[in-house]
Amino acid sequence: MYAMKSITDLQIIDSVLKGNTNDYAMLITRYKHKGFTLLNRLLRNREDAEEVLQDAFLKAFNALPYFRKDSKFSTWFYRIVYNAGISFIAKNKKMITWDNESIENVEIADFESLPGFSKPETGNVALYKVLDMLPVRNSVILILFYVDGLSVPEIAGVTGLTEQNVKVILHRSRHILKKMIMGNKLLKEVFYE
Amino acid sequence: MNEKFEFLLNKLADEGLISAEKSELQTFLLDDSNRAARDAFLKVHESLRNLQPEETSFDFEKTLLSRIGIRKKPSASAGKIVMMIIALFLFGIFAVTFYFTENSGMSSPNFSIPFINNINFEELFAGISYPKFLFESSYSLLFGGGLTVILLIATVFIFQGHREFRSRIKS
Repeated sequence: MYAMKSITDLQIIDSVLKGNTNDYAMLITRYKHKGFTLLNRLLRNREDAEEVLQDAFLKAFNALPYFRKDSKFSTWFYRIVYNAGISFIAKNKKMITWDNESIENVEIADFESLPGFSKPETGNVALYKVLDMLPVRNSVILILFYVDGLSVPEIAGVTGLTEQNVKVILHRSRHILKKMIMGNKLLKEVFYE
Repeated sequence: MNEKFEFLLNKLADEGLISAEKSELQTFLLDDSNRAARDAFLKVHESLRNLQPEETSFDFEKTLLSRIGIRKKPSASAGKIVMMIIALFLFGIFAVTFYFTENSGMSSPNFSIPFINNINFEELFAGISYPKFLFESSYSLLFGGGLTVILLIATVFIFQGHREFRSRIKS
């Protein structure tokens, strides 16, 4: 019996397309947490993120016969997830600021009194809290790069932004994160000590 | 932090550093005055790289798989039911036509089907009145032919409807 990690995405897809639809569960297990993390940054709501992720997995399952195997499944899948999230925002008229939100607004915040940091947190929890203080676009692109493991050109393909834009957003996001962490005593303790 | 130094560190993190920039970055890194800035940047970069994905709820996968299952099951069972109805309908028409043809005294082929012969049609259709003239002349052929055409058209519509239903679910 093969270990799950040794089976590639393409092998699983081939198997599903041959009629072994149960093998799709392996792709769900592989991508559910990463897809959820992306949608949770985009929608800022766990229930909505899970609902949209379910729809995205269903869409991907139905569209699997049309998947072109010359690209990575992960990039194709994250594009579906990302677009499902954007459609959800548009459909539900969610007030999630995107283009109008400036990272400069974050820079003038008083980092010493950041909300939600009254008790010590693990690095993971604290970092997600900090990420949620960034504008949606910045946190989404950081997740695509660091958690989902996409390259700059792949992120550009998923989001429809130019590669140059993606690089600028990544650079500015790292810069502001560094300032936030260095400017908050508790965060500095969590990350630097 | 020196803007150029931060720009190069970012390019390093993006895996987009070209060879000329590598040597420039090397010079910055050898300068002790840049150490604090470098450490702060790398700490953020490493923290982000070690960030673990958030977890979905416990029953997420189960719910999703059942949604995929629910989507697939109705089409399969609906197909079976449609096939069973068609088969029963065909058999019923065949049995009725066979009975009336036998009773009308029409010539029948020289073979027998034991299963059909064993059915007591007299008993089965006892008490049912029907227009006998239909089966006493060439009307019986007309009746059978018309019925077959109606049946074939109905079958085409049933299959067409089933196919549309399936494609609607898929889309």
